[in-house]
Amino acid sequence: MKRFGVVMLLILGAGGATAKVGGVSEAPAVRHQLELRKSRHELSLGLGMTLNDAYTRNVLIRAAYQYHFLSWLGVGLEAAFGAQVKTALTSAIESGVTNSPEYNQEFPGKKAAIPRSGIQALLIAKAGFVPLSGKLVLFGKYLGYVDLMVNAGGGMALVKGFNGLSNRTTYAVAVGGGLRFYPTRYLSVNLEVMDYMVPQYTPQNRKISAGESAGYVYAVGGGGLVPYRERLTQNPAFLVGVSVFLPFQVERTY
Amino acid sequence: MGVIRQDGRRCTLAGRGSWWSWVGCVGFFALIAARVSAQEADETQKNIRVLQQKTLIRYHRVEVVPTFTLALNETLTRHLGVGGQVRFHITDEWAAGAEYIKYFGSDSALATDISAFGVAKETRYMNQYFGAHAAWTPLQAKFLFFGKGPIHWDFGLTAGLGATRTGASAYRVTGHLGGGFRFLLWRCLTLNLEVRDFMFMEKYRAGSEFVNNVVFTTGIGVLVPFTYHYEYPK
Repeated sequence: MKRFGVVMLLILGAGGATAKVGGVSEAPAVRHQLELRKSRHELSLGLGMTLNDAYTRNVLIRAAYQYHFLSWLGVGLEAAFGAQVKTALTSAIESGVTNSPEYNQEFPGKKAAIPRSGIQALLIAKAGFVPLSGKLVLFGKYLGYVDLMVNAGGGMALVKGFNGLSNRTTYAVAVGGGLRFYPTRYLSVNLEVMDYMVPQYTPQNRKISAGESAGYVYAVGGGGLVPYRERLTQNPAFLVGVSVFLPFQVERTY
Repeated sequence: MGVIRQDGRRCTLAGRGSWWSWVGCVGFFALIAARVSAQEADETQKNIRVLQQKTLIRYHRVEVVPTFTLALNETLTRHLGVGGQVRFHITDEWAAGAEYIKYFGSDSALATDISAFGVAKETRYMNQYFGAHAAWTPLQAKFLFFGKGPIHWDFGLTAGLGATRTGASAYRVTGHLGGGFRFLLWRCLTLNLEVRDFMFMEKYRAGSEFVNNVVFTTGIGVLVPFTYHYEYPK
């Protein structure tokens, strides 16, 4: 009888274990998934430029650090340094002003150089979200992992002024997103669009009302004055970069 | 002590009593356990796909997409557009189609602001575009949405030729290149996001100028026929 009990216990135990292993209805969507971001540090370097600029184009070099607490959530810092280039529209305006009779009469022999500003440096604290992640297949061949990221944050900006506008330090808001493509488990190639919103002094076609003081006034000759007022400008930038993830070892989910 | 031979090896069952009573007990319960395990396995294997079926099928289907368009690279004007695309998927990778966009243009705030300098740049609104295109979809993938899913999607390239009507009545021969994503929402519904560059020569008073009209287009695609049958079962 004792042996009968022992045998029965063994068999019932084995049956229970079989039932636990066999169930797939509550299994995760992907088993043994590579945790490419969770509990990893991301160091990245990027290069890009702002798009659709009115007066000044900014060429940006960006270094960033991010720690990913979860697969879909991370926090970090980014620092960007910019070089400023005059846009074609600015050149056209300056040419038009220089060639106008009013300007020539008031400022003979002087080339017009309209006041403008650009982003010299940015320091942004940000949170990064990764709502979508998966694999890529090209012509039936597996290419690598990819994820879609969304970033948002805020910080400081150093705005460089030209032709009369002074340099200033102000706040910045950053929102954007992009794709990270992982050719290896510790390296990604990033394509990103970030909108760096920074208050800047820009010209406005509205006369200065009584009692109002514009941030800056530019004389275009013939008594014409162009007031500059502070506005939150949008500077969408397209950036290409690479990231290294540490540690190099990657864990897998169940 | 009883002794049995099994696969040529000598096995020993220690203890008192006859060996056949042990064999009987183990065999009886093993049979019951095996029957229960087999039933459980049948239940779980219903959910296991031995042959994975492709989820996003385009082959020999017509895709109808009402579209909303936003011009991206404008400074002095702003254009929004509504329209539609129809394409036939010849294979899963290749498709041919046609599209129409009706534009609604206006001056931007920047155009008003720069007039403060006493200078003006000639602007011209786009009125409409119609043309044909070929599409190639080399890349397909699936995403997890916060670990749930998967969401099936593909990426394709587009090239086409047509005409853009600008100003009152001028038609400009227009070529376009683009790329976009198609996310499968349901078996016959997709969310399409694409960027295209419509290129044409525009004649201004100061001379001709090459125009790049980069637009973002989004639309909900309907694939007809709505359903399809797989050659092989799951």
